[in-house]
Parts: sequence; structure tokens; C-alpha cells
Amino acid sequence: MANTIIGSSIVIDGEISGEEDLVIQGTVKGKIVLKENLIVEGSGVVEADIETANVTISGQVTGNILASERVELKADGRMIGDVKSPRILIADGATFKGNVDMDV
Amino acid sequence: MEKTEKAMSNPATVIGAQTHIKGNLEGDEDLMVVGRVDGNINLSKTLTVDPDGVVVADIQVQRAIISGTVVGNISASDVVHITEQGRVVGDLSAPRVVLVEGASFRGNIDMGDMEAPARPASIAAPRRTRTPARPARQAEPEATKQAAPPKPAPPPRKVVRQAAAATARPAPARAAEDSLDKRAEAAARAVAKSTPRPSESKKSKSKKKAPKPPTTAGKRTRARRK
Repeated sequence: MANTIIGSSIVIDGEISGEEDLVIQGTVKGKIVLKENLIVEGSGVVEADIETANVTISGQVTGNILASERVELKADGRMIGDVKSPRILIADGATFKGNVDMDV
Repeated sequence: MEKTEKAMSNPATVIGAQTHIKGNLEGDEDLMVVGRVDGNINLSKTLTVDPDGVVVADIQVQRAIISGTVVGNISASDVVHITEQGRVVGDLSAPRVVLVEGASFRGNIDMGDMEAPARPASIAAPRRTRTPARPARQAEPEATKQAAPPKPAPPPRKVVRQAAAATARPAPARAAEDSLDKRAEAAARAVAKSTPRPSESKKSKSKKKAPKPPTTAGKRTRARRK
């Protein structure tokens, strides 16, 4: 169960922190600090630095990601920023610009 | 309660119990807070704060249904509903405010213009215009002097107000160019008349309360006294 959902018409400007899954369908600007999964859905727009365990991106992310487990950029995903994580997946069709650091 | 259940059943956005948002949150859909939000919330739909939810924010929404804790001002275009589990510290501004038994609240409530939109002003308007009410009130100090001696301070005030209303109602029928002095005299006479007969003043009071605009006039009268 995704405990927190940011719906498609919601805009958050600030900081989100938590210890549970977060699904973003709307817009978040600022900072995201989690301990679980972050899912940016197709309609989701994130302009934030992200710190969490797992990140799955189908939407648009601008910012740096520090993930302790895994970052997955799906075919619809667009990402600008640096990624630091032991496992990084970039699907065919995804757009990515930035540095990748898998040496955590 | 219907609304509460409806809003809780299918909220588009949920801030989960372990999630903490600091900053501004705005949007055009329902929002349910089970976790915590610090900052501002600006929605065009319904905000539901779950019993476990904590919101420290100024809130602008259409509807707010508070079962949790809110510290901050709430401004709703439709309704603010504080359920029995709700705790709110802050000012409420909404045309409808519901505080159920058990709800805890500290702050001001502003329900805006008290004139109910359901009752068109035209019903009361032809019977009594606001203009005659004003001169009658201007006459009050003098009228109070004349009426006061036999009674302690508070009751005469009430009587005077009723008398003023009694004078004011037939006033439109009289010549509009009545001088203020004449009206003052009339008010004083009305006071003298109505004082010994409480039944009449009661009647005039109940009549006064029936149409909507007099409420405004009464409010203004009170305001003048402060």
C-alpha cells in the first residue's frame, strides 16, 4: 500500500520527509527525504533533491538523487541530474542527462 | 457526516501517517492528511484531516473536515466541519461552520455576512426601508432619558430599541420629509406608550425579527452602542 499519494493537481513547494512509500502524480519542488520507495508517475513532476532507498521514475525529475538501493528510470521517464546509487536501471526510451555514480 | 464519509472514501491525495511535509501545498483535488503538514494549504476542494493527522498551517479550501489536529487559520468557501475527534486552534472563516459535540476548538469564527441568501431582500424591503430606522435611532439618547427613570439601566435599552423599531415601521407611510426632531418626539412618545404595556412591545419585537434586513439594522444599533 502506497501510504502517501500526491495527486495530479497538487503542487507542493517545500520539503517532504517520511518513512513510507510516496507516489507523486502532481508537482513537488524542494526536497524529498524518505526511507522507502519513491514513485514518480507519468504525470508527476519533481524538481527536488531526493534521498531515499528506491526511486522509480515514469515522470519527470530534475534534481539529484541519492538512493541507498536502486534507481529505475522507466521508458516514459525523463531525468536531469546526478544519480548516486548501487543499482541504476535506465529503460529504452528514457531520457537522462547527468552523472551516474554506482560506487556507493 | 455524509460528507465526511464521502470525502474520506476516495481522496485523490493522501499524506500518509509517516510523511511530513514542510512548505506550501496547493491543488484542485481532495486532500487527506494522515501524517503531518507544516506550512500553507490552498485547495479548491476538500481537505480532510484524519484523527491521526496534524496540520500546522494556514488553510484555504472549499471544505475542511477536521477529525485530527489543526493549528492555524482555516478559511473555507463552503464549510468547516470539526468532528468530535477534531481539535482546532485558530480562526475559522466560512459561511457554514459545524462544531459537533466533543469537538475541541479555540479561536474566532467568522461566518461572514449574516444575511441569508435564501431569503430575498425584496420580501422585507417594501414594508420597511432602512432610511427611517436611522433617525429613530438618533433619537434614542433623548428617548432613553425620558423612559429610563422608573427602571434600572438594562431593560429600558431593550424597550427603546423595540420602540424605535415600532416607530420606524410605520414611518415610510408618514411624510418622508419629517424632521429629525419630530421623529425624536415620536420615538419618545412611542417609548412612553410601550413601556407600561410589555405585550405590545413583545409583539413589535417579534415582528421586527421576522424580516431579514431588520437584523442588520439591529446589529448596527448594537454597534452604535459599543
